[in-house]
Amino acid sequence: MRSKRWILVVGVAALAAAIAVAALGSAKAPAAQKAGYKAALVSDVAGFNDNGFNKNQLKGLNRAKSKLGVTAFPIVSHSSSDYQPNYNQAVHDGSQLIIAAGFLLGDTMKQYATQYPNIKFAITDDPVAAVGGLKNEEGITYATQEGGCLVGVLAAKMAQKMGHKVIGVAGGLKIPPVDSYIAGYKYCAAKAVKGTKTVVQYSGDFEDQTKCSAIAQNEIQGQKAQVIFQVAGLCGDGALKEASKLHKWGIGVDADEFSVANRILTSALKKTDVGVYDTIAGAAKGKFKGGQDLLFNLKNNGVGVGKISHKVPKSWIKLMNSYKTQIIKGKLKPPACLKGKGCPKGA
Amino acid sequence: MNTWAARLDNPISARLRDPAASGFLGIVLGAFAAFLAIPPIEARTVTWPILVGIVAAMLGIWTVTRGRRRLGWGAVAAGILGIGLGILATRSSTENLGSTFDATLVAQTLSFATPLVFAAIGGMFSERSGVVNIGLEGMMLMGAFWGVYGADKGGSWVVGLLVAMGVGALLALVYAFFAIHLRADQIVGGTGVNFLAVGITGYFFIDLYHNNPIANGVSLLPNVHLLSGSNFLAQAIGDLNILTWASFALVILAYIVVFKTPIGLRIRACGEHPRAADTVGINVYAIRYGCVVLSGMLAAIGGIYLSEGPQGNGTFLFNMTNGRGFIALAAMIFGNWRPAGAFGAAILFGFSSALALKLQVYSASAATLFQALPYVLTLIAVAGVIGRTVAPVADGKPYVRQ
Repeated sequence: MRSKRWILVVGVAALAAAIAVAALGSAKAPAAQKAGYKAALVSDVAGFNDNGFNKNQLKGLNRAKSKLGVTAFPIVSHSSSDYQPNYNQAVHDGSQLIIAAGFLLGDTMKQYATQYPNIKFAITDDPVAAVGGLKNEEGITYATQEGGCLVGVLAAKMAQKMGHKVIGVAGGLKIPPVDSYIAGYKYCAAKAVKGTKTVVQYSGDFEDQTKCSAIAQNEIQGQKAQVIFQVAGLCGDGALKEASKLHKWGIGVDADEFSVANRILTSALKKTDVGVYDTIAGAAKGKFKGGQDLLFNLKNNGVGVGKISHKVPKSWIKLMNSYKTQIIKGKLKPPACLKGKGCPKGA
Repeated sequence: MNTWAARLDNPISARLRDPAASGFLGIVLGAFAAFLAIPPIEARTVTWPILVGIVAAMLGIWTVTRGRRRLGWGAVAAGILGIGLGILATRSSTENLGSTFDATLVAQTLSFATPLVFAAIGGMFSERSGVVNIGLEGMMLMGAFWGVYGADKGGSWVVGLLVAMGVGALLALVYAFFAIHLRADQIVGGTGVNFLAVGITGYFFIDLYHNNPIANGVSLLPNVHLLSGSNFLAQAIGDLNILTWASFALVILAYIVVFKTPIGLRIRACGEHPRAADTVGINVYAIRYGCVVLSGMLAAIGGIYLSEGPQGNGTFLFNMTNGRGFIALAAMIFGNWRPAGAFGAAILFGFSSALALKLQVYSASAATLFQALPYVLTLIAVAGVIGRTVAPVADGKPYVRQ
């Protein structure tokens, strides 16, 4: 058969090409590996190129590598079916600490933490109680409602100035770390300007910009929102760009997104790099707090506010800072969840 | 031609006695019952939706007694659904209704549908000629990546579009070689193409862009500014993307080519009975190669809309097509391998995606539930309204010249 010979030729050629690529790739890999503490970071489905959440954690890991001499294994996931193989790889590489880059990895982490009691596990955005509360687990939690609160103050003032007291949110999935941002935002917006209404929609996606851009359009044109706070990662960048296009304002999330579009009010920061770095540093020094949570908040500068547009008057920033002091002093406690069990009424 | 002429000659009453026509009318009326209660008509009493819905259901029952059971029950269901939705709509606040069913719903529907239309029409050409093209997904993905690459390096979206089409055609050519010349299994081959595209785009995305989002300021596919202002038409179609308009033209063009030209007849002959086509001197291989390559080009245009379209903002993401190629394939089958049918199906998918986001004004907590809407609508439409679709007879069967 002539055609079979063809397949053979093509197959051999492909194999040769694959081997060549693999050889080139391995030649590039760093030759000298320092012996030291081994820490792995497994990304969630968005990968490490998401402009914020995962990318910042990778920064934290890399800082630990250069400052502490830790051997770092960043492992990318592209879909939820990658989580298990990635954990297998992390275990196989001999990692002593494996950090899950987000809430979405909770189930996988719980399973491996049970299976490997001698390896330490940590997870961004999830309290240890939610992943089994084991002795070899640590939760890296952020009081994002505090950052959400501060940007909510600016959003409410801006909406009031623009004539409609409506502010919007483009959320990703409806999960606790997303809702905590929204809850703080909503609570403080209504506190700063009486009668401010917050409209919320979820895209069900952290990547597809089309969906978040449609949400921004819906909230601005349909519900008269003047400011859109994106809590949807890369998807949300679509919302920020759409808000700018429609001459409204956008607020970034997790990282400083000031340069994503031209009308960015500010960003609510979650310094996931600090969290990852501190966790690795603690574990490497033998100060791993098994079964407990690390909390990053305004007080220890784990959350905060990014670059603020020059269109924002000084008096608003002053007002925002007064909220900040109240929160740090413990006088103001923005809720961390929207409606439901264990949530104060009105949140 | 004869049947069309005969149908037009009949008086309307005679056409209504045809159970197929009455069943279809019932379904349309059922949809109309719900439509009455939403803007721009927005009846605030339940009477009208109920009346129209009952008429629809009665037409459906009559159709069932005349033997067209599937269509009849479809009409009954449409009538009942129409009444239900109509009542729900009259009970919700006009403010919420207004922000759900507004002009942007039209614009967003078209925007969500555009990539699907291109890929579905591409798939139709391929399958009409007798080659199943599961690889649409991969060809879209190639278009999405190389389109941005072309626009980034070439400095213009035109370059991006041309590069995307070229790369889509190239991948399709590889697939065609396996499917037509080597007579490989087309499902397996197409799946291979999809994985190949994920690998190639993923590798080059890391190699060329170091896995970073492509910088702002890439030349994007422009929108066509027809009308401006805040009236319904201007908001609905005043600012659509150039590819959205092109997709409308493509549907008409595809219809004319496939059903009204000699080349279209040859394509269909290759898909229905390649041996007969070969006997009368049609080069089956050439036609099939041409159609598969064309499908690759069209799918790649659909793909570039995702990354370079108005909402893509010039961003490429790993595996960003995310199953849209398969949805396009479904739209084509759902549309019974016809351009207008595929277009209608793509619009339905687009509409339900847009509506799913809009419905959240009623309950943001139910967002996840609403996001299942496109799939539920599809199931209803496929099972209830369309029924059995008929593929080209030789679809998916490699042809051996004797």
